[in-house]
Amino acid sequence: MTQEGFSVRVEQCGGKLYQMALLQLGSETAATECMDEAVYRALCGCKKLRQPEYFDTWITRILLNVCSDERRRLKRHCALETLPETAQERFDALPLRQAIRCLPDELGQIVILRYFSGYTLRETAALLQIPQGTAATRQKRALTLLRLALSEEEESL
Amino acid sequence: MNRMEELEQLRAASAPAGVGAAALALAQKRLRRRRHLLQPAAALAASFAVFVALVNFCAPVAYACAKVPVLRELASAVTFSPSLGAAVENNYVQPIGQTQTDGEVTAAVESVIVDQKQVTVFYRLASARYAKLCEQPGVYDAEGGAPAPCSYGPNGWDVENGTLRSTTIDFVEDNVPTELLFTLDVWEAETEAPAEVTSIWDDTPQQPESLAHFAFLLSFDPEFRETGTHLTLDQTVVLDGQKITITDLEIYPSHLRVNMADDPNNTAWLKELQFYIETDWGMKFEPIANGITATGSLDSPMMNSYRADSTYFHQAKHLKLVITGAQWLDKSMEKISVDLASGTASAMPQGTVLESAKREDGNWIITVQAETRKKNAAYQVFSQTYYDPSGAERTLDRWTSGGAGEVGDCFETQFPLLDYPYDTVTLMPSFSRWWTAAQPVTVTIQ
Repeated sequence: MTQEGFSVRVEQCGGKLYQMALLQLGSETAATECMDEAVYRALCGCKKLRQPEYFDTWITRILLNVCSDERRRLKRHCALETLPETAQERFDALPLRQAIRCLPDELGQIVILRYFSGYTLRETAALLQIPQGTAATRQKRALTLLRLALSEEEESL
Repeated sequence: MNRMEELEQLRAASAPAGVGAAALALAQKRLRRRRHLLQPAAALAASFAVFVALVNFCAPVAYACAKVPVLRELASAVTFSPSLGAAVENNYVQPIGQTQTDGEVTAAVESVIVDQKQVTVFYRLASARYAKLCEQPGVYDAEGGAPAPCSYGPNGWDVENGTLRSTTIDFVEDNVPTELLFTLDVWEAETEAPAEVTSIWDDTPQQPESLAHFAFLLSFDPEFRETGTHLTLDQTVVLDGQKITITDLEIYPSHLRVNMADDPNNTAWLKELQFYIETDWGMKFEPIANGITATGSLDSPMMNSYRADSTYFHQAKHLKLVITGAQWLDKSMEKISVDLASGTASAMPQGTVLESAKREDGNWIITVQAETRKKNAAYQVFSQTYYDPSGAERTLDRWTSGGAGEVGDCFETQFPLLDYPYDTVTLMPSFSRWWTAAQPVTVTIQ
């Protein structure tokens, strides 16, 4: 992929990447920093991307990795709390934005990719490199915890 | 607001404008900075890789690199010799790297400067127990049985533990062999003044047993050991009426030798030559000031080989041997008679006076005053051999000298004739007179 093509694609998907980071981290500053880091890593490796049609998936995976690293760092410093799946009541008490952030990583990523970034279940499974069935199970668990009653159509996108 | 409404609200939220462009601009800036840093780093890494390859696959480079860390200290350890200094500057040093421990003393032979005729061994002595150590070197053939045909001695004394020391081993006739056994006997240096001696002519006390003994087998690299240039000259000059033929010049990294032969019709033996060597661009190389300055042969009293600092590393196309003076021993004055009772001599070398001859117990103590020819440097007036009235040969094995100051001053030298019941003695002067050339005599070389 050329650098010119890379620039165009980053500008196009920048907003979506930022929102994903913000949902995972809850802080605009942290989201901006993770996005900057993800774009930088992608720029360093863009020549290795041989199929530009996979750009979105590729840069999203980079961003997810950067955000996971940042979440681990924040957890070490007690600046981020994740709740166990048994803590339904506490999820219920939180606003949705915070509840998403408090989901375990593997559930939070499914929700963000599926309902905020617009990826289908198959694309989400591919992105997270997990079987589609696993992705579906996680999605169901996440929706239950968040008390989100989505239509069957929306769920199966 | 229920969860679905919250979801819709979150999904509707928009990111700040230009967030992608800002991240891109920052990423591009970081990438440029990284390249800026990485390019020199990459060049450095490439240079390092080439260096590693050279060191591993090119023996001369590995050899030279192995020497680098020690060169600075070596340079300060060879200030006594401009030739060795030039050798160090030109990386002409063979690393040895042998360490031995005996008791509480450790000796490490680090390197040598070796050529066809001379070896200078660099080593250190260390001990946690003894504050200051001194050593006596020894040089033997590789099997350790026979002393090597050479002369040797340390180049300094009163050296602190851990400091680089050196011993120079000199081969006059023979060449440096492929291997030598270099030994060191080590004692604790005296920290207190020695007990007062009743007479300076007493036998020196026996050396106590050494604290440690070391034996290092030194193998010399042929690349160094075979180094040297030999130039045949065969040019005859007349010095003070005596014919001297400059036969050849030997140029080694450690020193230079000017060899000469005399004419059988000469009336005097050449005992010392005052000279210097000059390059075509006017650089002067003086006679050796520390160590062996000249050598002779058993066949005649003449000193026929003179040493100077080496021109080896200076690659001169033309050299000049400039002779400015000489010291002679007239053949008519090879022996002189001294009447000890009256304190008179049949003749004395130029610039010397027989001051006194005194009887002390069974010995005669002879005192001679001599003119200082070189600042702070006394010289030997008589050779070690003398004869009693019956013609029996005796050996003079001790003397003292003191008071040599400025040129033109006098110094005093004293020596005993031990257990000598006679009133006369035949002494053999080391020289009879000095000569200074009105015009320096020049011999062109190459």
